[in-house]
Amino acid sequence: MATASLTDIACPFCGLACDDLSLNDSSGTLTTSGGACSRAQFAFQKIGSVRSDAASSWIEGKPVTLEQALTKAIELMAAAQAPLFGGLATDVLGMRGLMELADRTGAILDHMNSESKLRNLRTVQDAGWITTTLSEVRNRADVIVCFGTDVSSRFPRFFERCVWVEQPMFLQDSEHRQVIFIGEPKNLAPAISPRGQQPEVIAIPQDRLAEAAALMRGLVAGSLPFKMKTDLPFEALKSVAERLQAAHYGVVVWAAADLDWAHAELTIQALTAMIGTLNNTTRCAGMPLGGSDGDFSSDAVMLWQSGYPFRTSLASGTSQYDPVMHATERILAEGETDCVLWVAGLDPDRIQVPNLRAVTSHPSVSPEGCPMIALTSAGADLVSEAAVQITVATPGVDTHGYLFRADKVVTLPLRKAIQRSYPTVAEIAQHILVGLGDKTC
Amino acid sequence: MLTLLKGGKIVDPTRKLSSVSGDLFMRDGWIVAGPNPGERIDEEIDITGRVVMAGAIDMHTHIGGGKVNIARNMLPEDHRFDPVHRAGLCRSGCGHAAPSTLTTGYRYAAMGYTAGFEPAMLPVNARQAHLEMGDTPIIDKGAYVMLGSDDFLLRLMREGASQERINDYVGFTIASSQALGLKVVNPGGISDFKFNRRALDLDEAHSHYNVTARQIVHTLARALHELKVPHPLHIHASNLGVPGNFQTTLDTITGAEGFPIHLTHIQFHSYGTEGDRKFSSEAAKIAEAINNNPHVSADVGQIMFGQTVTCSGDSMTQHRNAGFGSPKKSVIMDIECDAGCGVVPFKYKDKNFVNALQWAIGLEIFLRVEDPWRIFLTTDHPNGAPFTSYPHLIRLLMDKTFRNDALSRINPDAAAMSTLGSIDREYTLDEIAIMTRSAPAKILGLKDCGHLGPGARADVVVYKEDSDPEKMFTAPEYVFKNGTMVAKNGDIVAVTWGDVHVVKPQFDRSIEKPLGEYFDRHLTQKLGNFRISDDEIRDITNGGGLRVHACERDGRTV
Repeated sequence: MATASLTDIACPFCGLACDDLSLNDSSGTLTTSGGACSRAQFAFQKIGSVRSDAASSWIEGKPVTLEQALTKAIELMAAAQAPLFGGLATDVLGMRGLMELADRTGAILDHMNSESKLRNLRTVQDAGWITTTLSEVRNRADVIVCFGTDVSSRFPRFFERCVWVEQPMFLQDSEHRQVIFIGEPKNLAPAISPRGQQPEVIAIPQDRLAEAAALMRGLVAGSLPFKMKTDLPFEALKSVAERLQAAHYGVVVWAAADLDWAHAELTIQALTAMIGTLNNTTRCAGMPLGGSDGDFSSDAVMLWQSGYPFRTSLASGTSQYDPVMHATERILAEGETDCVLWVAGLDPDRIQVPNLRAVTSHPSVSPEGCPMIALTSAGADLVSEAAVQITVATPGVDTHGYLFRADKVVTLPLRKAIQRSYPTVAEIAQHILVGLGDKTC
Repeated sequence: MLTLLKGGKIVDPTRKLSSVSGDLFMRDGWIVAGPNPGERIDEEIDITGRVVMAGAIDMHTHIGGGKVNIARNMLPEDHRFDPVHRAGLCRSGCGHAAPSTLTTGYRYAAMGYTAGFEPAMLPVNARQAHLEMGDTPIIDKGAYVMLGSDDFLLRLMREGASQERINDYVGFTIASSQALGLKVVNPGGISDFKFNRRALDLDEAHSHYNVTARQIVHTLARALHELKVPHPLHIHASNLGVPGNFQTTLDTITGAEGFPIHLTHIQFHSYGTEGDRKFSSEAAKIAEAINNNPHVSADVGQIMFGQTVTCSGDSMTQHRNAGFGSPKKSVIMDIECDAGCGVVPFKYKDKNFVNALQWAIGLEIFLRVEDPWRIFLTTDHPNGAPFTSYPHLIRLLMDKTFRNDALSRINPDAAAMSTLGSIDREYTLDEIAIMTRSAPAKILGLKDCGHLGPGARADVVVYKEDSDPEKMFTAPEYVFKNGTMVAKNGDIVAVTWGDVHVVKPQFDRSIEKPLGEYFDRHLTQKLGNFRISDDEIRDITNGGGLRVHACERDGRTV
């Protein structure tokens, strides 16, 4: 079963896409060595341990052949008037295939992470920002402010790979970096320096972070009254602002997924405006971490092929972007789709099945409801709501592929590690496309 | 499959054919001299009286890589009024300043372009650039990879590494990123911006590495010469957009000390400080310098009035100019100890003094550079204007009356400061063919492109002659790519996938040892994953091929 023991493997299971992993395949178990985090170890092991003769396609939860499942999928797609392509956890090649099918069927495209991604997108579309990338953080950042995130819960090896490195190019050593958390970080262990220096924490509850960002923005802009009445830790935040002003290269890290409240884009905007002001005198950059579940990868393909990011509809024969109208949850709640193609082809524990109950109980949807075709990684649970479920080749395990990293600059090649016969997402999309013939549109 | 294009007027400056009536044969994607003995002609198309040229080549167009996707992400409003519907063979998409890749390919082909070259591919972003270009149909593609603000080069230079060692690194970078050439952008400046430097002149030392832009230009120009890479160093010079920067441009020419160089979007580097507003045209001096230095070529980067978006690797300059953006938003990035980027939307206005003078400066340079083999027709798409404005630009060059009418409508102070109105020159059809076909193929080392001689790729464009060149060049009657008719009167009739053009210079592979150690110690990916293999390129080009061009130089020497 093993092709070989592979080194320098890139991991597709979070936005850091660490590419220093080794994979070993022995007696049907895929194990990682190198510095793999526990999430990577678990995901590789889970996907890799599925026997290739185990059921991999289902109709209404019952095992069928791949051919039967594909025939059913074509039938459902051919009958659809308003398909929704959701989830979209896949890599560049998977998304290329889906885009062609979406264009043909007039689908709406939305990713499982759109809600958090939009917090950043709205900021970029409104005012833009100044950002940096992982290796710049690693070599330059002397003051690192983690805002509203502990980073490590979502990006386990961030501190190991980007902060506590032996020899930063432009700093005396990593120990002299200042690491400051603003918020209520849960997992601080990775942020402790190798010599044991504890990170600084300015404890602010989540529902006050918007205020904290606005306050820091005002402090940096010098537009606050000398003594302001607030029950936020004013002096501590002021000290952070001053240290960013004094820094050679400050970095403000956030993970949009952690800024989970209404209009969090205004908080991000306060941070990016602060960064903008800081750059009038020194250097500072944002590090908006994301890229998990392939969100930066499939979004990048959408952008270059359609011109627009997620939440774009191809129903009218051209791309129409509307981040409110084309949200999965809203479409389901309003009964505006009659077929869901749900793609969750990376982490088998991140299927994020949408709530189809809303759509199937909606008066505008026929009693047969809204069928779902689910494309999932090996090791994923059976999706009980799915009319058809097909196990797809996971890029980086069963097939090769390309993944955009958290900084949207580096695209890592994903390698095929084991030999199994699952179809790729692109192959399924192509198969459905061919199967549709001239039936639709 | 043998096709005969019968009775066209062949304009092929490479072979010194100027509107010569003749037949053209295409077999299996290539131009051939004629049928073999006894060979049947499968298809004959009568093009009597039509102008025939090789497919046009855009040698500087931002069609791939992170910058363009940032523009798309930031500017949904750019696309809203130019939707492209799925129709016939063509997928949906959108147009305007940062069009979708699919629309980019269709529109270039419909306009008679069969190749476009991305001029600013960051090494660490090369894979994305190739993926985007791979999704750009019909046309051939290629890229110039960027060095000059990357820490590895600057470290080598600070340590006084030998030229041979630097050549190895340059060769490695070109080969491992699958590039056709090398570009330097604001030499050293992008790096120094990360150290909080806001401007870096040609002879100022980088604040950390203590090397100058002049040294970087010279070192890289020499490296390409010694590696025998056909395309000379593609230089986005220091001080882009700064009044008085013409002197920097002249000094950059002398700084190359005779090594061949290509100065890109030279319009943005030809500014003086005369007049009440301390902004003036030095186009005449720049053109004179190009005329007097046969080892120097340039593309213009003409601006056109209207909305566009500027996408540049020059983060230092883009940050400085972000305040002039319209709409007022921008993305500035420091990138991976490798480079940077800045994306700033821009609206050039004909009544604005500076914009109007920029427009006139670009045209002055076109008209004052005497040798059409060394000046190239570009708008630096989309930085000066979208590539779809080329037919209009061609008319401005070919039609003096049309040009002077346009001049009479721009900001009068700018018009008064420009000598454009006094220039009588009108480009001929031959000269247009040189600057859009023969010369780009020559300067890029593409021996089988840009001409219609036997052995060339059958990239052929058939135009109906028209007294209005804009009309003529907007929608040619037929466009053939590799012998397949892909466009007819502006409509796409076949969708093919073009090739990727690269060079593979020879270098000492031992450079990979220190590079591997550098990657492990300082960067966040492995050298092996940075490198892009030939198989990868074939995997991502949708069936297009990989075309490797020889590294050999013509007679131009130091």
